Amino acid sequence: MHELSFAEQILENVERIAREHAAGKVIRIRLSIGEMLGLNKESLTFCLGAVTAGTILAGARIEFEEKRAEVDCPRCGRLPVDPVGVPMCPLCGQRGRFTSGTELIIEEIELDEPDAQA
Amino acid sequence: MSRTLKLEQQVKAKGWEVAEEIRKTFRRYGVFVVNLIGSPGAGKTSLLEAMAPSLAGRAAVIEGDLQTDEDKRRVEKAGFRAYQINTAGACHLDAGMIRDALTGFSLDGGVELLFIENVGNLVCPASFDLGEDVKVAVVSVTEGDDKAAKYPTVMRVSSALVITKTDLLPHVACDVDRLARDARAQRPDMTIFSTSARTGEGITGFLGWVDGMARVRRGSGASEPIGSDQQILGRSSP
Repeated sequence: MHELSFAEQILENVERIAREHAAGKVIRIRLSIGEMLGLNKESLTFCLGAVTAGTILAGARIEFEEKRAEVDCPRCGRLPVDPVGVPMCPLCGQRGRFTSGTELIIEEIELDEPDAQA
Repeated sequence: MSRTLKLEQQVKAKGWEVAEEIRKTFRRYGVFVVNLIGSPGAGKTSLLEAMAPSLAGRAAVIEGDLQTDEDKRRVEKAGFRAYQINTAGACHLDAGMIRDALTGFSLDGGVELLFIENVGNLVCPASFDLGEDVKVAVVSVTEGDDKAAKYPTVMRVSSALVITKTDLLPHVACDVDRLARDARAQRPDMTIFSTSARTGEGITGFLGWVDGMARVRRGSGASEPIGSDQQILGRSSP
């Protein structure tokens, strides 16, 4: 259930940003999930529902986008790979670096702003 | 009136800052930390007991269980300095629990290695950084040879797999090669040990690997967990 700890961090981040923008409510949150994180979308949605109850995020629509694992090989460039533990180039077998698929990113949020002039 | 904000902000699981903080504490003390992850009954405590005679006071253990201090008492009897965390229902340890444990548990006095025995569970502990240097998966032959295939996440994050209870192989249908193959499908550089706490098979080998990793860590002074994207050691032979 590491989804719960991610949900708590999403709440913390979005709540702070929404406050900074004096938003009355968060309508929509779009997340992109790296496939290597092993996050379950249903479970993350459930956890978000639980932790956001009574906050300005309550009832926000959650949208997901999946990010495939990608490795940056010094010789072959950026290539999609199987999400295994070691960033190995699928073409030449050289060790590279994961450049995608390892992160959870809040791509965008939609806020309801009481003050239309803002 | 609604407004859409582009954020592209990365989110880490709650607790990662705490893990980084305690990792620094471990570095300061020069302690190499191993997070042992396996099912209930996989033989994690027995593995520790089997290693105890060779560790002669230079290793400590943090035990994680829902209830009881039975494992703490077992490893203390075997010769370790030990601390028990009771999670009161939580299915895994998290970095905050380790930080709290460190306030009641000193790393002074020649502790070079710290083993954290996670709550018996092959799923959730895989996702939590405890500030350790390496995660090690523990699977017994009695659990069946499909476990590495069925629990890929723990294999992916572990630097080594310790197969336990090999003395029981004549009595159970477990293809150790399949277990190793499936583990390496997730983690090509996985180091794999066949061990038996009862006969002592493989215990010295595993301990040698831990000591070797600890030496590499001390030499490098790097602050990322070994086996993270930033730094992964070459594949060693099983």
